[in-house]
Amino acid sequence: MTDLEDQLSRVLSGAAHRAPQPPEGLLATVKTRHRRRRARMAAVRTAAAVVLVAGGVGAVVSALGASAEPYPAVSATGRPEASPDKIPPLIEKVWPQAVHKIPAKLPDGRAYYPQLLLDDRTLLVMTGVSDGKRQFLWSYELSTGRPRQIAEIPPTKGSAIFADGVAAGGGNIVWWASYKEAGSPRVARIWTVPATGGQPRPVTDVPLGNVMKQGHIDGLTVAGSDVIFAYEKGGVYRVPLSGGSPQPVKGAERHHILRWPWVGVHRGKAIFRELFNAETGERRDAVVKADEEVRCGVDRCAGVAVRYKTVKAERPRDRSGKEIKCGTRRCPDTARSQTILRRFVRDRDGSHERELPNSFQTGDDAGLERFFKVTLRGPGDQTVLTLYDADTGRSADLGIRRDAKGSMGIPDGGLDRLMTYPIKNEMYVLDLAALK
Amino acid sequence: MDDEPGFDDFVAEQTAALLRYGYVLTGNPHDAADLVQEALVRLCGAWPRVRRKDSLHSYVRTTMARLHISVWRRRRREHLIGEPPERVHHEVFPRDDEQGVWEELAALPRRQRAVLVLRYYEQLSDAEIAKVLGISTGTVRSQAFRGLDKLRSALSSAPATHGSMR
Repeated sequence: MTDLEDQLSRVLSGAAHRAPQPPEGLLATVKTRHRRRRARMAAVRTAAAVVLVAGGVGAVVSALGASAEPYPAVSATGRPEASPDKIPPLIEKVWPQAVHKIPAKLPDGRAYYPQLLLDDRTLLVMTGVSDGKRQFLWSYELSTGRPRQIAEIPPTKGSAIFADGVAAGGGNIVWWASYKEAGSPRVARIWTVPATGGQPRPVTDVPLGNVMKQGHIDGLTVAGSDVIFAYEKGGVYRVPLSGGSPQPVKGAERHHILRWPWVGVHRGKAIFRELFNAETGERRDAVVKADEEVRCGVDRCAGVAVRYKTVKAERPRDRSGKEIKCGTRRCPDTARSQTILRRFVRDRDGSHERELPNSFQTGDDAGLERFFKVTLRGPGDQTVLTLYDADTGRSADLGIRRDAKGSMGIPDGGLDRLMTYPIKNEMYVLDLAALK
Repeated sequence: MDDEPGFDDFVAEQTAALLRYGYVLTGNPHDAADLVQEALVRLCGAWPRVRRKDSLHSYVRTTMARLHISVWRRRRREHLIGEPPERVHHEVFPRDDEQGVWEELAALPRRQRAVLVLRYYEQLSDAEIAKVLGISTGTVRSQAFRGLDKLRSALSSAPATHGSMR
C-alpha cells in the first residue's frame, strides 16, 4: 500500500467512529414508510392499468405523476417532496436511428460484453468475462444477429486482470492483460489479432512496476501500424504492431491520452484543460475560470461553477425530527458548503456556452462530447436515467429501471459513439454517431 | 409487523454498522441517516424474498452503494431546498492532513468515492466491488486509479487551504 492508501484506510475508519448513532424510533419510521410506499405503488399500478386501456404511452407518464400525489412522501423537514420530474419519451421513440436492440445473449446462451463498433453494422463483443474461464472475441452483425468468433483470448498464467482496453483500427484488434511470473515484475502484455479472425499474437510486454502506486496502462489505440498506450500515472508510449520495445512519445512524457493524437495532463479540478496533439504539435488550452471545475474533451469542456462557504452546521436530525448524535462526540459545529452556481458545456475557447440540466453526471464522459447522462426522479421516487443532447436540447429516457432487487445497471460508454446496456433479455446498443 | 419475522432483529443489530458505512460513503451524518433509512425501507419490502439468504449483510450494503451512486439522494435534497449546499464538509479530524483527505474525498464523483470506500474501508477486492456496483472490473480499476490520482494531486497542490476554513 502507498502512503496515500494507508492514510485513506486510516481516515475512513477514523471517520466511521464519528458516524451518527442509530436514531430512536428508526424501526417504526422504516415500517411506516414501507407501508406508505406499498400503498402508493398499488395506487400507481391501478392508475396505470386504467390509462393504458384509455390511451397511449405518452398519457401514462402524466397519469402516473398525478396518481402519486394523494400519498405525498414527507421529508425530514415535514414539507412534502416536490413533484416528480417530467420524464422524456423512450429513446427508441426519440432517436430510433441510433438504437439497435439485440438479444442480451448469444444464440448459444453465452452472456457477452460489448466492446466497440468495428463499423456501422458490426459490434465487437467479448464472452467469458463473468465466469472468467475462457474468453473469446466475436464480431456481431447488428442487422442479422449473427455472431462470428474472431479468436480466443489466450489465458495468461498468474494474470490478475484478463483482457482489458480492447481497441481496434486499420483491421486490427488490440488488448492487454496483466501478467506476472514468479520472481519477475508484473507486465502488461499487449496482444493483437486481425479483425477478420486468426491466432492472437503478443505485441510487447510493458513493465508495470508497482501497480498500486502507478497503475496499469490505458488509452490503448491502434494508430496506423503502431499501438499507442499510456501509463495510468501518465506517460505516452508507442510500439509497432509488428513488435518491439515501446518508445516514449516526444513531448507526452507525463501525459494521458484523451483521444489519440490528443494528449494532456490532469491539473487539479480541470481535467484535460491543456491539450497537445502528439502528431502535429498543435496546442489547445481551454478557457476555465477560477471557480469552475471542468472535464474537457477535444472540442468542449463541461462542468460546474461552484462557491464554497464555511457555515454553521445545523444539528443533524433524522426524518422524524430527532437529533442524531455523532459517535461519542457532539456533531461538528461547522461545515463547508458547496453551492453549484452554474452547470454548463461550452467550446474550449469559452464560446457557445449552454446550460446543462441540474442533475447531469459531473465528471462523467459525455458521448461524442455531446450526449450527457442525466438522472431524473420519476413517479414513486423512481430513478430514471436519461440522455441529454446538448446540441439540440432534446432528451430521451434510456428505459432503465430498478429490478426487483432495487439495483439498476449503469450504461457503459465513454467519449466515443457507443453506449450499451442490458434491459431484461435485450441489449441496447446505441450508436450516437447516427445522430446528426 | 408479524409478516416480517427477523426484520426487527436485523435492524437492531445492524443499524450502527450501516450508519458507519453510510457515513464513510456519503461524508455527512444527514446523508448517512437518510441512506440507511431508505435502504432499510427497501429491505423491508424485499424481506419475505431475501430473509433466508446468508448474505443479507451484503445485500443491504449493495443497496446503499448503488442508491448512493444513483444520485437518488441529491435529487431529493435539491427538490427540497432549491440551490442547496450540495456537499457539506464537516470538520471531523483533529489533524489537518487527515481533514484534508476527508474533504477531498467529498470532491470526488460519487462512483469514484464509492470504489475507494469499498476498497479501503470495506476491504473488498476489485472483482467484489465490480459486483456490488454492477460495473466491470476494468471500470473499478480505472475509477479507483482516477480517484487516488485526484486525491494525490489535490493534496499536493493545495495543502495550505485545509484547516483554514474553520
